[in-house]
Amino acid sequence: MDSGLSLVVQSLPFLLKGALYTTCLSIGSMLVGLALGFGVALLRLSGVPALVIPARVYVSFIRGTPLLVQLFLIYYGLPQFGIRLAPIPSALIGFTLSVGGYSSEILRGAIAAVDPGQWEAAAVVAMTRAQTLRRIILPQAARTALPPLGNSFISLVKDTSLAATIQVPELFREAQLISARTFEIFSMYLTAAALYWMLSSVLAALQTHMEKRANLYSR
Amino acid sequence: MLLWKRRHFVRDVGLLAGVALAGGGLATPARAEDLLAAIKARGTLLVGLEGTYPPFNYQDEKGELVGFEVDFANALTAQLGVKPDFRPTKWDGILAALESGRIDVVINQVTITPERQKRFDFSQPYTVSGIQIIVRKGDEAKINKPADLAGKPVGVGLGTNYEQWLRQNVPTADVRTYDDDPTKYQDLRAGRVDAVLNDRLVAADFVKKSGGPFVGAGEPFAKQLQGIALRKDATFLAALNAGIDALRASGELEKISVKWFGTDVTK
Repeated sequence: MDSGLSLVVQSLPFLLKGALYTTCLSIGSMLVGLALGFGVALLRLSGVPALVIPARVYVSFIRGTPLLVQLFLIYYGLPQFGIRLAPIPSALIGFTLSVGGYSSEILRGAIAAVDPGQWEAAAVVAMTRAQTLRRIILPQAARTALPPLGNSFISLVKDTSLAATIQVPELFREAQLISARTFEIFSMYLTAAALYWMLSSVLAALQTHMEKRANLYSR
Repeated sequence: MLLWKRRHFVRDVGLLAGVALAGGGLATPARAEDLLAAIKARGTLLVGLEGTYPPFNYQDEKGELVGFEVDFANALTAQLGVKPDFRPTKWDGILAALESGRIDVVINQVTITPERQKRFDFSQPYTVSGIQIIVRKGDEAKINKPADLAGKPVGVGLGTNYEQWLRQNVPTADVRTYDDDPTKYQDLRAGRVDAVLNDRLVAADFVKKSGGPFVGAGEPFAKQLQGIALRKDATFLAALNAGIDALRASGELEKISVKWFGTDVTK
């Protein structure tokens, strides 16, 4: 355990560099994915079949296939059609599409959960649908959506470890590289686990903070 | 999330530290001299191999495990009076599986290196090989010796001696690590790496079977010896070495080698 501990200290710079990749991958795909998810949720709520059907197929595919398989399709599969993406763009696209799929369902559910009477009341005071959505519906939907969104973002942080399989030097890959070289398996993966735990704890704290803010005027 | 309190966090961290210490204690290997007796009593030798590494060990069309090392393990266990129980394991976890006692030996072209010898015992070598550079057809004039790898993306297996050799001998190469053979050759084909390093024996077989896109470039270099890896255990090691000696003396080892490689690669 002594050698394990000093090795952990020695390899910490590498693991932290990996954790930086993990953080950037998570935040990048979280932000773009959330925007994508919102767009897809609106498509699904539009009621226009030409928009609803593609959105449903997209969500169904993302939720119905393993993320690892999606990453392999993008990274190892697309080159057969001449689309050769580097590891990090491949991972970003994969995770963004995944976040987009899951968060669109959360947002759609949250929007649908707002009492339809609110739409009617807004229509009575001559608000357009867009105005109603922005001023009345979204502030309420945000409160419903925050906890499940926080949940899926924490999952995302952990899922980024899958990028190790497509050459991204993120946290888990760094731990794999060091443990393969040194045979310090337990201490290296334990350190990686601790770093993942810290990252998701920061997210969890952020989520709590945002939930408090969102609930400030609710009761 | 409201249940998440600071004092719980402190308690959980304490718990984690406890688990870490207990893990450290558990890492002590089981009593050494019992292993050979335990294997004989069990009647099977747990053999770790990848099962995806032709022509050493791989599944044939019928889904059966075949290859040079499968034949070798069968012959060797017959010498010990037991049967092999093959446990396909991914390379990056195979030495960890050996260390934790999930398997008794690794017969999977484990190159004998000083780092590995600190951790494990190795039988006498049963194959002699070297490192081969594999490139896309047409690139062999540009890349055919170690110095040509400088500054280029090069694919190697994660935790292999090829990774280690590359990092030590061509420090300017852009080292890309892969979990298995198919993915690194896919990236070689796609042009994400310009060369792959592998065992010369594997490379010869692979280039032949791939039928065109890849070639072995230049001569193999850095002679390497492969042995059976086991947890440190003098009695068991002596039994394995005696078994290999017997296979050499009877000519059986050479026969197996000629069957798979057309030549004797065991000396």
